Amino acid sequence: MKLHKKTRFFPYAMLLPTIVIFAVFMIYPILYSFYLSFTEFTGGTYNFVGLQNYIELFHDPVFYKALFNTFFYLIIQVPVMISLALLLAVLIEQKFIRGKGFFRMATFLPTITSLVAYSLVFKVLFNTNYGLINYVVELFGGEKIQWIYSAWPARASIIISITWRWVGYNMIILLAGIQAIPTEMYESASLDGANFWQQLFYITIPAIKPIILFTTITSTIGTLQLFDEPYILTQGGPNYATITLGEYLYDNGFTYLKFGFASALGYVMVIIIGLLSWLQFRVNKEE
Amino acid sequence: MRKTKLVVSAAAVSMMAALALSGCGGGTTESAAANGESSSAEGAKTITVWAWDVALKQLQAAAEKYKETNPDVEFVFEEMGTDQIYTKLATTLSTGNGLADVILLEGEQVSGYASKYPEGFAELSDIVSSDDFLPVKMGEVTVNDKIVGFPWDAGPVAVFYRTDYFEQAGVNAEDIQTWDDFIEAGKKIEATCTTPSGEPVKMLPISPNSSGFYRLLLTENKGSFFDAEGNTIVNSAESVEAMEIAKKIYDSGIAYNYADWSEYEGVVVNETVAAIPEAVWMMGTIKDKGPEQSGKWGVMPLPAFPGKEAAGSTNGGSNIVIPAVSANVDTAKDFVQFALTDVQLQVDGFVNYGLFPSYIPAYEDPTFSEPDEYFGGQNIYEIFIELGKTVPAVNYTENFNEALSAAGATCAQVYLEGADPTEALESLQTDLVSKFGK
Amino acid sequence: MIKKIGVYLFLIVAAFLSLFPFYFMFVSGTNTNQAILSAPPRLLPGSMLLENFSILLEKMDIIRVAFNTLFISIVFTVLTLILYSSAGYVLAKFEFKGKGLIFGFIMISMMIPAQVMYVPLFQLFVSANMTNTYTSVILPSLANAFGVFLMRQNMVNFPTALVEAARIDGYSEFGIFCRIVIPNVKPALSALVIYMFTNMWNNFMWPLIVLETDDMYNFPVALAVLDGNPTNKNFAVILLATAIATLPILVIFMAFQKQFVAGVMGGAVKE
Repeated sequence: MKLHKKTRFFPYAMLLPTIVIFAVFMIYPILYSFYLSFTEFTGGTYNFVGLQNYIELFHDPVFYKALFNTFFYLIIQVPVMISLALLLAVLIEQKFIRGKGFFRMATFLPTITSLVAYSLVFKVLFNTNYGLINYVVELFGGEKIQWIYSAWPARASIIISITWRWVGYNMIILLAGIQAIPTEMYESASLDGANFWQQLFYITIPAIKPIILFTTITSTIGTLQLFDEPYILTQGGPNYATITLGEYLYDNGFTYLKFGFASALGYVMVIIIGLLSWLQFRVNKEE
Repeated sequence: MRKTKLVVSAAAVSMMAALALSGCGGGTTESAAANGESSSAEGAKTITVWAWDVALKQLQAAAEKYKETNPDVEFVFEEMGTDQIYTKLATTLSTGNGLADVILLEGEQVSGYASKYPEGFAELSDIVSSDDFLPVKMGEVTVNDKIVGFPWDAGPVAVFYRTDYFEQAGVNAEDIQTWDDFIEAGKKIEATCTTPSGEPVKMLPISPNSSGFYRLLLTENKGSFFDAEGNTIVNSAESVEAMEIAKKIYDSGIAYNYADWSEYEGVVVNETVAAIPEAVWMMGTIKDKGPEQSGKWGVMPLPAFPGKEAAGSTNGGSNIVIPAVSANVDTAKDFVQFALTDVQLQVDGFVNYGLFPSYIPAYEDPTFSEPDEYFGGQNIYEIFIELGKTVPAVNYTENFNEALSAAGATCAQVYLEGADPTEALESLQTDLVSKFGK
Repeated sequence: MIKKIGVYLFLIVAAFLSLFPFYFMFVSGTNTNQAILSAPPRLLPGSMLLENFSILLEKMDIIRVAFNTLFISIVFTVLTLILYSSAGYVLAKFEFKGKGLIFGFIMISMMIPAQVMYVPLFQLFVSANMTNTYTSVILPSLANAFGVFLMRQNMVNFPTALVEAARIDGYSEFGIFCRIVIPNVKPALSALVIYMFTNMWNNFMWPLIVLETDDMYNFPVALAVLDGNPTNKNFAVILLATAIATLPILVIFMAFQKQFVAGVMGGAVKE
């Protein structure tokens, strides 16, 4: 939109409060912690140590475990969750479904629970000895699953929890996109004899591809920063099998009081997140 | 267009103003009061206390008593869990702002904060006389040769055991001299006894994700993570021996896996195990969670390492620190000294809340030589007192927390993935040395 | 027909799995601690509600905590509405120098892990002598990139012709924004309300760091403190408190949910 000269300052005036907020509460801490990443906290003061934190990080076996776990969650959980969200969205939008509002609301509700509430409930449900989940497993003739002291079940419990919490959030966003697709497209496809899956793959998915990309990128960012679930459900164990970069960062900063090291880890995470987001954009563009 | 600009900036300004007013109005006055910058009557001093659970209740009782002779001191008690205190300490110590005057810390946590912030806590050498406290507790509060914490409750470890299960299986507690005897007894018990819900009774609970049981054995074997100079020594002979025993016990199948505190309490409620090697404070939980099991529990010393004398161990307990920036350091010191050395208060804390004092003169009180009806009339306290005195002080250093979580991972490797104790500890040693530089 | 039943079945199972933990939470608040910690836990309502509630009242000043949480969340939500709708509008509809830079930076800030910023932010509030205030909880949370993004995406879809017409009619730029744009993006605003309100209602780590006294705590911090005792946990009381803390947010969501989907739609369609 072209502007008259007189209104040239209007956008800046409108943006000013937001810019001030971001400058003080985002840019300043980012720069400050960038500086911290080159320091070590000893004897009550921050001492400049150059690249030592970054060097230490790349020699740290726990960092690589955290990196592996984080990427494992990313590769398994994000596609599973997005597909599930897409399937839910498409099914809820089927014409014959009654109670659309109920299904939408029910599957979205987990998103609004607080971390503390959610963690308490899931800790009780996943408990190996008296948890309801293992009770159901045994009811169906299975053996008690060692959710907490066995590496793969522990990872699975984290993936199940994140999926429970976030699938509805992505479903709503995808749903909004699906509603914008003109119904005529489906009608003519039906006339041509396209079945449900053909409609899904040839009409729905191509039409909402940008939205799928959006949910994929936000989920990727969220998973790469994953902290809540391992912190609460497994404390990163057993033997670091479930620790994530986010939790390792927190441990270093707030338990070991190594703020410099924690900041360095934070910046490595930023670089990884940035690279992946850029990659997802690129792949999408080329297609 | 002038008008537009004016309106926008007015909106922005008023928004900020409204925000500042609405936000600050509720908070600032209260925070000033809480920080002890006494805005109230002249001469009145406010002591803010951070503590959790029963220790908080005991400090409240102590404050009541303290006010009888010091009516001008006011107290504000903030109940916080351990995790919240540590998260807050991590940020507040770096600025010296927003700290309480009196802060409760778990036993091993004093050294980490005190060595990261050498000026963070007030020195207490003038009010703590080392000989009056258990040596292991003095070790916890002494950092770089300075006493920076006041020792409070101690956690001498013994074995709580179910006399009825033992009898049923024909196991005699006196005959359990070594950990090997303990394993044999465990196998007998598992073969003979069943819990009320029909499962075979396990010998002891172990959390395979945590270093808890290994550390208990390590301390009994006179080992520790660090030597006096702060060098990492997790691959010492003592440490390897402790891990081998831990593995032997776990692999023998007599252990019941548990993960968190509520499950730990559950082993008492559900009568799952025949023995719990744990610190004296477990007594409170056992009585609380198994009131109908009265008369069925006894206490025996820890089994010994093969070929060694029996020794004690320690777990948990707490200490009190006073931030150096507190506006009322002297009052806080006076109160803490009173609360933790008044013999009657120590006895009350023990009787009411199971806080086992580390203040040795308190043991003279007749309460500590009385038999306990719940434990079949056994005089259990003497066992803990004697064991407590045998545990030596160890050096915790600023790296304790990191070593602790790494050791937890190593234990998980040994218990769950069948790793060889010597190899696992060697690799732990290498990792820790490369992190800590020593 | 079989297909339809299959679809219904799938949706019902999904809804059940989503809702069950809520049911468990509400029901556990009426049971004893023992009932929750037995296998299987009790799934029917019990008779302990009043008793649990009176224990809870002893441990937590629930009225004060509710007030703190509500007050912080409402002020925060109102401020985000003002900030992000004006920012989103100009970022979507105006060309000006530095726009790419500003928007780019806001988006990139989404990638910074929050934990990195706690220490510098805390020091900032300490030097301003503003810790333990509502302001200290609200202000840093206002730097929320997702909110700006959501509003910008919604504003992009707003017909430019309407703006042009208003300009010809002699409306001031600010007048257009207030009287033409805002009334027409209500779904987007309700989406923002739900996102921001829940965000602040559930805000945990930062309030834990910056709030010092229990008369300032919000629900998540108060719940964590309630749960923080290493020993002697009473899950029934904790889950009752959790249920109480969740109830208002359920109500807000029900009230706004119809417009919510439409609001998200505007946010996600274009890009």
